[in-house]
Amino acid sequence: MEALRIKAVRKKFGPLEVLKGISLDLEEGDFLVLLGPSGCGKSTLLALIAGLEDITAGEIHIGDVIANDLHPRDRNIAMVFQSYALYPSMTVHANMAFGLKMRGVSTADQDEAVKRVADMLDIGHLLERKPGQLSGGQRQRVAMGRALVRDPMLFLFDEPLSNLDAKLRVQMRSEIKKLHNRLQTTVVYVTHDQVEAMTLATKIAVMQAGEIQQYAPPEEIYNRPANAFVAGFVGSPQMNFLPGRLERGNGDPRLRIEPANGATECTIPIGSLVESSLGNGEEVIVGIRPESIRPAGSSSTFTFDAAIELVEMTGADTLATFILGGHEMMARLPAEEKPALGDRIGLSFDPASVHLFDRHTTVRLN
Amino acid sequence: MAVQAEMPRRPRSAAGLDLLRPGQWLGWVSEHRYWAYFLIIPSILFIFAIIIYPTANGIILSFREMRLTRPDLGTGFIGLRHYADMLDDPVFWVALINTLKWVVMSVTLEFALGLAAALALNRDLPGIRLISVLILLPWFLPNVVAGNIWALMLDPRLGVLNDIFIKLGFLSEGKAWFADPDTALLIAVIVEGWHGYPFFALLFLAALKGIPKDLYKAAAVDGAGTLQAFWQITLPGLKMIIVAVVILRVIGLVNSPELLLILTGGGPGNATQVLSLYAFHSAYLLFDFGYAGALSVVMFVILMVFCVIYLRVSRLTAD
Repeated sequence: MEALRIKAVRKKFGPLEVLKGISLDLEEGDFLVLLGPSGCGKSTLLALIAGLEDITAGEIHIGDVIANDLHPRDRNIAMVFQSYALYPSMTVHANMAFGLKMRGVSTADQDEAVKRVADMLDIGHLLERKPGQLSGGQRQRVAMGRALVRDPMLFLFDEPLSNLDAKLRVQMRSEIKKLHNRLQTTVVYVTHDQVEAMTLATKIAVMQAGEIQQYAPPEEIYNRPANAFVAGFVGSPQMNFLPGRLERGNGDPRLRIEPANGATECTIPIGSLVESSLGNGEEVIVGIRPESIRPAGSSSTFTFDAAIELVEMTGADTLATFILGGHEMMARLPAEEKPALGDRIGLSFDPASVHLFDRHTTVRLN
Repeated sequence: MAVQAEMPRRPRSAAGLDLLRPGQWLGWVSEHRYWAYFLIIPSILFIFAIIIYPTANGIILSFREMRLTRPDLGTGFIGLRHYADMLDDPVFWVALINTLKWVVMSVTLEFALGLAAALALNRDLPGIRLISVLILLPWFLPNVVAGNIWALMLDPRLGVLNDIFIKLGFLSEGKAWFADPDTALLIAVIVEGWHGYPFFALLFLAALKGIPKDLYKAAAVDGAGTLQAFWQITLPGLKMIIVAVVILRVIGLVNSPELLLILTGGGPGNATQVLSLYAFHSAYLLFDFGYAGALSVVMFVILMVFCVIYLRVSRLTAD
C-alpha cells in the first residue's frame, strides 16, 4: 500500500516558486530521503507533507486520505526537527507523552508507551530531566522518542543529525537504520548529507531548484545518475567531468576529450558504451568517478600517464589530483599508493564505468 | 654617561615611575589587580550621593519632627511617634487600600492589554513594524502630558469622550468622571492602563520573538490547539519576562503619584488617595516632612517585602 503520494505539488512564497511540480509515490515501510543542496526546496516539501505550510497547487495523499487541508494533528504523522524543538518547560517524560496527552490517551497508557520507547532508545534514566539538562545527543534521542511514542503512518525527519558532532552523527545514523529495519516504519527524511542519504534510504529523491532530478534507489542514483547534477552531487570526492565529443570512425566509437590550456588531445575507446542512435560529433560531458580510476596494470582498461599535482592522504585511501588533456581530475587510489608531487604515474579506468551526459541538456546518454 | 648626569631630576614614584608622564603610571596602574575598584569609584560616589544618602536621610527624617508650619515644635528626634500616628490616621489606611487597588487593577489591565498587543504584533504581516512603533506612543508621553490629555478628554463640558457618549445615547449630560467616588479610581486605572501597556507589550514582544517557531510546529504535529500551545509554550516562554516586568511596574506604580495628582489630586474626598500621593501632600501641601518621611519608609518596606515574597514565589514555580 502507498503510504505517501505526492501529485504535481507546487509551492509559492509570494512571487517565488520554490517547488515546481513535485510528484512521487512512497510504499509503506520505505525510507525516502529528500537530498539536495541548501535552498532546493526539500525542507519546504517536508513542511507541506507535515501541514506546516499551505500547499499552492497539487495533492498530497497520506495513506488513503487527501491531506491538503488537514491540520498537522489530523495527518497521522510524527516529526523530528533539526532543532529538536523539545518543550523547554517540560520534563523528558512530559515531552514524549505530550502528543499522546493531546490525543486523550489515558495516563497509564502514556506511561507505558513512554517507558517502552525510552527503553528502546536507552533514555529511561533521563525521563525526569528537563531538555536544558541534556547533552546534544540525548536531546536528539528524546526528539526521536517523542516521534516514536505514537504509532503514526509517517515519520518526518528534518535534518535530525546536522547538529551533532561527526562521531555521534555516525552512531545515530546507524541507530536510525537499525530502528527502521526493526520497526519497518515509513520515513521521509530530509538531508543535504549524501552519506546519510546513501546509507539510510531505500529511495532517494535528489532535488535541485524546486524540482526532483532523480527518484530512485541509492544504488541507481550512484551507478546511473540521471543527469550531470545528480552525478556531481552524489559521490565524494565529486565525479570528474570532461568536455568531449563522440567519434564514430571505422572501428569502435571513441570519445575525444577536448583539450584545455594547450594540452595534447586524448581519445578514449568506449566500445558498446553508447547506443548507435548517438551521432558522430555529438557533444558530451564525460563523467568518471574518482574511485573508478586505478593504478595502471590491467590490460582490459584504458591506460594513460599523468603528472601528479596534489596528493591528499585520508588514511583509508589516497586522493591524487592530476591533469588529463589539460583538465584537472581526481583519482581515489589505494592507501598504499603514495605518488610524490610531480611524479608521472600510470593510471587506468574501465571505459564501461564512464558516464556520458548531453552537453546541452546534461541528461544521461548511456 | 655625562649627558645623563646633566638631565634635570624629575619626580619619581616608589616604583620608579615618572610621575610627570601620566601615560606611564596609568599604564602601570591599569595592570594592577585593584584597577577595577578604581574604575567603579565614580559610580559608587554617584550612587551614594543621589540614592544612599537621601534614603538614609529620609529614614532619619521619619524619626524627627519637621513641620515648616510649626517651627515652634523644633526638629528634634521623636522616636516612632510618626509611625504611631500613622496607625491612627484613617487617611493612611484608605491610601494603603487604594494603593493596593490601584496597583493590582492597573498591572492587571496593562498586563492583559500588553500581552494581547504583543501576541497580535508577533506575526509576519505587512505594516506590522510601523504599528509596533506607533503602539509605543503612549509610553513615550510623560505622565503629566498623558494625564492632562485625558483630563481634557474626560472633562464634563469640554471633553470629547462625554460628547461621544451623549451622542451615542449612553449619557444624557456630561459626566464629571473624576468627581464621582465610584468612577474616579476606575477611570484613572483605565488611563494608566492606556499609558502603561506599551511597556508590557514591548517586553512581551521581545520575549515572544525569542520563542523558537519550531516549538509551535512540534506542538501542532503533536496535536495541540492554539490555546494549548499558548499554555504549554507561550506562557512558559514568557515566564521570566513576566516576573521582571510585573515587579518593575509594581514599583513604578507604587512610587509615582503624577498621573493621579493630575487626574484627581487624590479626590474626590480621599477616593483616589494613594500612599505616594499622600506622602507628597504631607510634604508639599502640609509641609510635614517628618510624617511624609515616615510614609515613604512604610512604602519602601512594603515594596521590599513584596519583592522578596514575589521573587521567592516565582522562583518556586519556575522549577
